[in-house]
Amino acid sequence: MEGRHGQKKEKAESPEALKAREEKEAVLVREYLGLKDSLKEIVDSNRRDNEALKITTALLRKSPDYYTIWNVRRTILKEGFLDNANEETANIIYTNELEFVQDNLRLNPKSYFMWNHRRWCLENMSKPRWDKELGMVGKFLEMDARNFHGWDYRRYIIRQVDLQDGQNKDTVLARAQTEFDFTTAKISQNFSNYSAWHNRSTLLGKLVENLTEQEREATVDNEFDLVKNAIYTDPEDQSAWLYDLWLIGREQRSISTLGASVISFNPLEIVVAFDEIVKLRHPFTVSTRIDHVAIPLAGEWRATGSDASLGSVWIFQQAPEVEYGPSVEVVIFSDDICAVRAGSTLPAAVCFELETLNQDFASISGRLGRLEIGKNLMYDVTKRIGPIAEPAGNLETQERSKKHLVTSLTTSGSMDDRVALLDREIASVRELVELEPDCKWPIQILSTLLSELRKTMSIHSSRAKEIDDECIELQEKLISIDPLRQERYEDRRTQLVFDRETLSIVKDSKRLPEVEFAENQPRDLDLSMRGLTHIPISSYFIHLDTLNLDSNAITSTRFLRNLLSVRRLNLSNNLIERLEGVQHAPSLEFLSLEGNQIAKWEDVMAGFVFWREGKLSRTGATVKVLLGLNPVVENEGGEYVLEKRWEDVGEVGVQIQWQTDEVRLAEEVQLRDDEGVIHMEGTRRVSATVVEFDAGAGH
Amino acid sequence: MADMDSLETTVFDAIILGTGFTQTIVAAALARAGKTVLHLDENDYYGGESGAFGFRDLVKWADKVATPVSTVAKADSDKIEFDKLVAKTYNHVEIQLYNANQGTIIDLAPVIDANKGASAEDRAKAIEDYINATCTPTAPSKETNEAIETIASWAASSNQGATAKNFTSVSTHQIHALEELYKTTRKYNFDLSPKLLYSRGPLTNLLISSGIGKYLEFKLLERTAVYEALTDKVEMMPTSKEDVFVSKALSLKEKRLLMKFLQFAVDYENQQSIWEDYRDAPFTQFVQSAYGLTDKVLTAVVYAIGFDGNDEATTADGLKSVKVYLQSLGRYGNSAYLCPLYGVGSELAQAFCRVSAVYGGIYMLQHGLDKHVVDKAANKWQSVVDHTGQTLQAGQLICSREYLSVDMDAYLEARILNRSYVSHCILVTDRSAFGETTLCKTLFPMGSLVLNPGETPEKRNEHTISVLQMCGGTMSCPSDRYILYIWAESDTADGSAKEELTAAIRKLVHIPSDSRSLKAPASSEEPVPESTPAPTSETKALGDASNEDQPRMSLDQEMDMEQVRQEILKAEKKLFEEADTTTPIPSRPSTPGPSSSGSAKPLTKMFQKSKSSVSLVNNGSTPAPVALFSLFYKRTTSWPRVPYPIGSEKLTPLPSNLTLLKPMNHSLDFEAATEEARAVFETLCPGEEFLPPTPEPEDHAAY
Repeated sequence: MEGRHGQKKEKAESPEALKAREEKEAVLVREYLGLKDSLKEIVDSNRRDNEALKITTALLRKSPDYYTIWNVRRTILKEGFLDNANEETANIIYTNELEFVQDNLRLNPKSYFMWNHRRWCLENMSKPRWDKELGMVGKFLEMDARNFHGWDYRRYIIRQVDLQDGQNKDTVLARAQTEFDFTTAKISQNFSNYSAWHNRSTLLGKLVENLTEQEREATVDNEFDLVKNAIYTDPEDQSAWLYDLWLIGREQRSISTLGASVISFNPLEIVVAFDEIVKLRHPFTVSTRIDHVAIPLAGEWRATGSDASLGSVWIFQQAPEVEYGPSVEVVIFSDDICAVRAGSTLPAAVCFELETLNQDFASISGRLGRLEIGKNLMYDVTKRIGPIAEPAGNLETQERSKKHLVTSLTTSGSMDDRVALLDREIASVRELVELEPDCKWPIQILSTLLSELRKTMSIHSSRAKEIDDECIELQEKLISIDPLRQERYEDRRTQLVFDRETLSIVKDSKRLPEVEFAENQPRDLDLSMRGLTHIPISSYFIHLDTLNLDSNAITSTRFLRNLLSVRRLNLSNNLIERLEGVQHAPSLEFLSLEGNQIAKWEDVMAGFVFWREGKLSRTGATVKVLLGLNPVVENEGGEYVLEKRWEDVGEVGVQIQWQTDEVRLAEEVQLRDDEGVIHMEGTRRVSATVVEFDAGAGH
Repeated sequence: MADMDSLETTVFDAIILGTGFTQTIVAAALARAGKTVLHLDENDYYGGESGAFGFRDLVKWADKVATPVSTVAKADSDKIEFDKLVAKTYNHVEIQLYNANQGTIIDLAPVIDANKGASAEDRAKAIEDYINATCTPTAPSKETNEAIETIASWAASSNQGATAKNFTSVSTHQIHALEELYKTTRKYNFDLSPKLLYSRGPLTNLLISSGIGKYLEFKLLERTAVYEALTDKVEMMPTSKEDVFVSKALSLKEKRLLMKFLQFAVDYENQQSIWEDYRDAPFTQFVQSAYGLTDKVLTAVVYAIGFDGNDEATTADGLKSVKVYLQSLGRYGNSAYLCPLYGVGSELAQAFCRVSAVYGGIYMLQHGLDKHVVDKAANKWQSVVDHTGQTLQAGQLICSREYLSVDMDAYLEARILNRSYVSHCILVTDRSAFGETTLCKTLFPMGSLVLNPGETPEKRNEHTISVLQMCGGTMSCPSDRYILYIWAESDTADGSAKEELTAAIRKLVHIPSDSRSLKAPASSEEPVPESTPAPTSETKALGDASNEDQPRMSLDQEMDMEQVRQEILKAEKKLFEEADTTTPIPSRPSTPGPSSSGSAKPLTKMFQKSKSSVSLVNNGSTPAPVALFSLFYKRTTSWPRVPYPIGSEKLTPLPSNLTLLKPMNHSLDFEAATEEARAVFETLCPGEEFLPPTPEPEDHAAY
């Protein structure tokens, strides 16, 4: 029967019929092009008369999405008619326009330009009938409840009417309630409706403002109930999950100030570490006490790395020829920094008091001093300290309330309430995971809920460890059931594994969920074979001496900039394609990059391009880099390039030396054939297993 | 008349007797395939056992089937005794008008007794005179007289049947009620075999593919309710995703389990491993053990969705009907069932007849038939002789049982081992039994009702009782009236339809003088409007609202953007006028209503709103409808189940070129009948396409 269907259609579209149709269409196209030409004439001749208007009408009927014509039409209307019209005439014109738009809208209810033209009319009318507009858009949403143009327009109408009723709070609130009920109705008809859920969230925010804590709680419970009904009915529906996620809310991220240390006494150098990348808005205040009088200490703050204005580790270098006393204070006000990641703030000003009396770094010459922990005292600043420079912000307002800030309705202010809510939701979503073990949404939400819960507890508690372990498992489950988003889950997993593996480095700050450096820092850290895709918080590693990242999935070495103390770093068997940031690792002596993806010689050199600007050149160290099992080949011009990976060529040691004052590295590299360093086989492939960069020779 | 009855041609490819639903499809298909078709019906209406009537014709029909046909001592074996066989098909016919105790009561017993010896007609006349003399109606209308006449004839009916017992006395109220029904007779379309269509079932698909559905209009069935014995409540079932979402009767986990089951059922054919072991086991067993839907509510939901008339459905049956249901959901809206307007069966039958006629089929209603001519030696049917003596020949005869000759019927009768019947009730009420839901079906599961409360041994309903409520919106009754069709399969001829169905009616309707039925509504003193047929504004508004909420639709109105645009086109013109009244935009600041003050209130309102959407019916909030008129009857659907039962060998088998069609079954849908028609057609015309699309001249013009 189906086949017959097809045949019939074919028959109907006989050559004659096809020709007739084509002719018909050709007429339409000619008409349209004719109209377009006339329009051009109008625009060129500045005509603003009735005939011009008619042409735009005809054109817009044919092609309502041609927005230039709408613009032309408005100009004609304004200059040709409205400018000289009295109020009554103008209203008639606008009303006609509204009807015209409505005519067109029914053909194309998702055209931006028509909804826009409607707004223009209403905003210019003396007495716009918003009630009629609401009725109209209601009809459109009845026809298609998911037309976001309709929803957007509806909100616009409500905003306009609310503005008129600005004084009358009750009316505005009652209207919000009506709109809220409207979303309820639409969601009941079909809950797979982002627009309706979204509108609901905006209205709910308004409605709960005037509620007591108890009423608010009941409201939130009601919403959870509604959205859970949707989720249980269809767990694959994303719109309901997103609303659920919005209801759960996220605890606002705060920036943790991990700690500060003196790394050099002459000149004075201080390092401050944060747990995320921040931008400096005002230099942190550094002062010293001389004879009980605090005086500001001049100097410069720079982030590590080549972009000195952005980073998670900041270094202060004292201006030359300035004396400082037995202790130095660093004060960081909330508005001194802003986070790169949206939503993160430094909740309160922080002060570090650093002892400078006992200058313990005996032999600093040429080498960095070892970073020590425990030499600083960190506390919240609640009052101004001495005559330091006036901060831009007001200290009083920076005082942090003990409230648990959550970005949603569930703000109760009490940590216990938050925990109770999270526990309840976790139990509920666990039930769903049990019912739908292969559905990605409940697992993701469970992971989010657990992470939120973890923020309410000490990172060293056993519960926190359980949560971390479970979350890691959940990510692994997600990778297996939703391989399309594997990389996203792997990044999340990396974050979780990183948190778990670095517990020895940080401890709870007195302000949960912030953290700070633990008193006793580990020297060595083995993070090999952890499946890490990146180093989420490299500032954690500023005290490390040896770091093993063998056999992970790391793609970038930019984190090297913050590894101020690392001497030995194993990055073998990762996915690195370029060596970056080596010059900013001031203590680096040994780096293994064996078994990576470094495809070009230039990509090795890239790490040293700014050699002279980096710390390394100043300290004059020699770095040994292992590059075995990376692709390297000599090209036709005799240059050494890294191309395809190869494993079949035996190890060949290459010693590369160059002077630090020679700039163009690629050209300066001397490869000495006669020492048997380079081995050529029948092929043109060559292996550079060890490249030793001696940076010290020039100094 | 004689001219019309005589035909130019008397030889056809096929003669079809009876315009029952199945026959009409076969007729249309044969004519469409180029066969010459003669289609006759002894009745003066289309549809046969699926016929639909106005009120007056319903009463006429009921009186006719209730009256025993005077039997000829020994009819010739080739005689067609249509009236006799029809009357044999229908038993336990009973008509009742309620509120016998309201108004003036006229005791008829003395008149009846006094005229015991007289003929039924004379007795009726005497009763009629007596009523007229006793209550002397003021300004009697034609219908008043007709009502009195009818009641008199019921009271006088000679067989002392159940109807007569209901009219040993009569109240002025009853006379008024009947008068009212007569006055509005044309507004009623009573279905003898009420049914629905699946939106995406074989019949609907056939109507669409053949183009026949173009002329039909439909409404969507709104809800399905199930009676729960434990709570003694009739509850609306969440039978769609949206219903499940808003349902308060299901817990979250139950919602998930249910949806999961439904998701499986849509694709059950590809997941055989899950249900293979249960294939022939009862469907409920599969649902409970394999899908863990053990909860009462869940079982009820699956039952509401999957019940298609067969209480002994196997897992294979159940899954099939659940799948059809689910596929049907959403095609035309949030419902799986379509209800044709103007009476279900007869409209469809006529639509198929129309196609048959367009392709040359000849139609004659009210055409008396005399006998069949069969070539005994070859066992071939040859012709049928009509009441004018005309011999009508054809290669094939297709008919239903009523058109068999005495011989043929005896053969069929001998082969029937298990008797089966359908008990029917047509009930007219004054308001919806389901509040705002007006077009709705209800199921009373087998064993859920006690048929003889207070007696021992207890008798329970042995089969599911189905109830279909129709409203003015389906053009089957006036807008201030509702029709409840109640029916159930029955295994015995003994129990009356009334005995078998009343228990279900009691749960939905207030039956005056039946204390076990629902309580009378508070304002029930005058539930029947007095002779002036002015419906109260309240009920009228309700009727109107239902018309608007559930728009009529034709089959090409699938839910898609095109429909949306059409709808906008229609709504467009009145938009501005309507906007004033329909939009609940809060007033301007100049009129701050006292109700809108109090800023903390709105949210509590919101909770009430969402919690009050509990889908219960008869929870006391809506007044119970009052029964006004009822007609009970029991229809025989007995059919041989085995091909060659022992004992029938001696009888002459049916002629090989006679195709006998089954009686209309008791299921909710037409699917079995549609499949039967297709099978018959495919046997008769192997290789031909069954009802291909009707080409339309406009189609070509469109391109």
